Amino acid sequence: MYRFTIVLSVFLFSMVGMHAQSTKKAIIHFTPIFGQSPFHLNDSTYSLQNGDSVRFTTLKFYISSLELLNNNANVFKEKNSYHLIDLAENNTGKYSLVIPKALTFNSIRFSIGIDSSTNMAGALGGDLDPLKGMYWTWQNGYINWKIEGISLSPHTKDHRFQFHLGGYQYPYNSIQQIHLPIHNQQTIDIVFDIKTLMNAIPLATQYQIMSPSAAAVVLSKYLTTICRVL
Amino acid sequence: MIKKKSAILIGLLLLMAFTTIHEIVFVVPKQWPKPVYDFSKNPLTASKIALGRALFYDPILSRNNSVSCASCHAQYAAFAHIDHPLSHGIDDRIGTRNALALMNLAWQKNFMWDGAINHLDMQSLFPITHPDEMDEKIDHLVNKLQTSKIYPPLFKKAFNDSTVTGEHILKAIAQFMVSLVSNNSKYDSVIRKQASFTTAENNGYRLFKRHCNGCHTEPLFTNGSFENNGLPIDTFLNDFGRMKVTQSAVDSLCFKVPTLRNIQYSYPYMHDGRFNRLTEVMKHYTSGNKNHAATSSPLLEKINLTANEKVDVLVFLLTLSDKSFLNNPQNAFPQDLFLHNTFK
Repeated sequence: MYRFTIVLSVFLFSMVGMHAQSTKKAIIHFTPIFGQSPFHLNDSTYSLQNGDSVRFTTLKFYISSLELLNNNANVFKEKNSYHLIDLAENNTGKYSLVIPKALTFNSIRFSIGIDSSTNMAGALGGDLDPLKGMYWTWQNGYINWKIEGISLSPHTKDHRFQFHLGGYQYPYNSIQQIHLPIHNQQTIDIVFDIKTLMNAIPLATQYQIMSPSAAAVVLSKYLTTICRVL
Repeated sequence: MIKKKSAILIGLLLLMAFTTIHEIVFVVPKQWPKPVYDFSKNPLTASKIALGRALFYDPILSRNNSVSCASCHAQYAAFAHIDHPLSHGIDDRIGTRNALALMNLAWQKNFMWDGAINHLDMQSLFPITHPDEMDEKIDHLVNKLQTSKIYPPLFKKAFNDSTVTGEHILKAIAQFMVSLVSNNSKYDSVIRKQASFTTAENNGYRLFKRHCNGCHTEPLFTNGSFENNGLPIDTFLNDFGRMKVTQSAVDSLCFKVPTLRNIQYSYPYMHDGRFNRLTEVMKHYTSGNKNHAATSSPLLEKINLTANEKVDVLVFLLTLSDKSFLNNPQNAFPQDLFLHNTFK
């Protein structure tokens, strides 16, 4: 019995020891911008290439499967890596990764959206809770990227446009993987230039996507071109 | 000696771990397939099933607290909606499809007539939020439940957390739904060799196995597939079924093969409830009066049955009725909970 207790204690202490391994924090900051300007909902009006002006009411998107790489080899994977960035919720888009102190890395990889197995996993909590408004109830699946606003171009009620990009099943799988080089290891500032996205959408004719479709895939692929590391 | 003691200690620890969570083992009837539902992600407990049952029967799930799940899924109708061809929701709004009977859902891999729902946990979100059904918003529902008198303690008991979340609402309702198992019909007794068919039932069973079992496969009486059974399209509803989900032309007019268990009670029949009687269904499958062009291959030819044979098949279908399921008090309106809180 004594021997068993000792074995158990040694085991527990070794667990504590493993936990106490020296770590550091890497801060990752996801920020939407509009060209050279900061991005704000509701109050700010922005100009597009075609002369139209645009105002935004919603911007919400999922970042998932965060990982760090060194010379293209994975060195760190965040566990349960699902983050909802919601501009209306005063969400700072700032996350810290606790990583081993000795870790070196020179690129970051993540996905915009939710992978197919998570889409089929049933009810989930936290940022994946369906009450976050990023889940299609009439045909299951997460909305990966949601942007809504008002512009003169669309001939809709109140000139509203809304793009809900999602879909996890072939051929309309819209999750996108991003891989970016990193210069600074403590703070990683990643920006999403909404101006580049909006200039690519002919709002007069394309003002609404609300289901998995070929058009949703095209726009989702465009998301890969709007991010960069500052 | 030391080894023996540590084994006992580990055994005790394991026992404690199991008894503290009150996990219920989901019983799979003998010779039934392995359930699709992943119980490891949502382990069954009596308190979660009880919470799910309360939510299932409570109109608080609808925008104006007027309709519950049970409004369209009545226990006496095998959890379908008797006499309503199309589902009947909030403010007397009428939907576009017939409310499906609910049973043996742990074995089903997708839900609704077109399979648009990929997981039982997520199924209840559809009726809760659909404007023609309960027309509620999930965050508003969370708020209503959180501020009610009865729910925070029930969530605490079920999930060890009195904070109501979307995840916990959905998991609890899913637990009540998987608990709706029907396997005590006369057919089941015959299979278990505890009873025997009459001559007519036996002949009906033989004919059923030859003509119907391909899609309505035993023991669940569905193979879970989507088929076009040759019904002409209703030009008012213009419902093309599964094609809307897959956006693939081969799925045009395909609808889920429903279970035939308790079929006696779950009328009207078909995705739009167009047939009131089983005899009409029989007539559809045995007459040449079908929309042949797009019909699924096994149904291209009409089923040739004599008048007597038709009666025998119908008599066999009645052996799939499970009165114990319809009368099971564990599946019924939780009177203790609601009446206690309303009148005391």
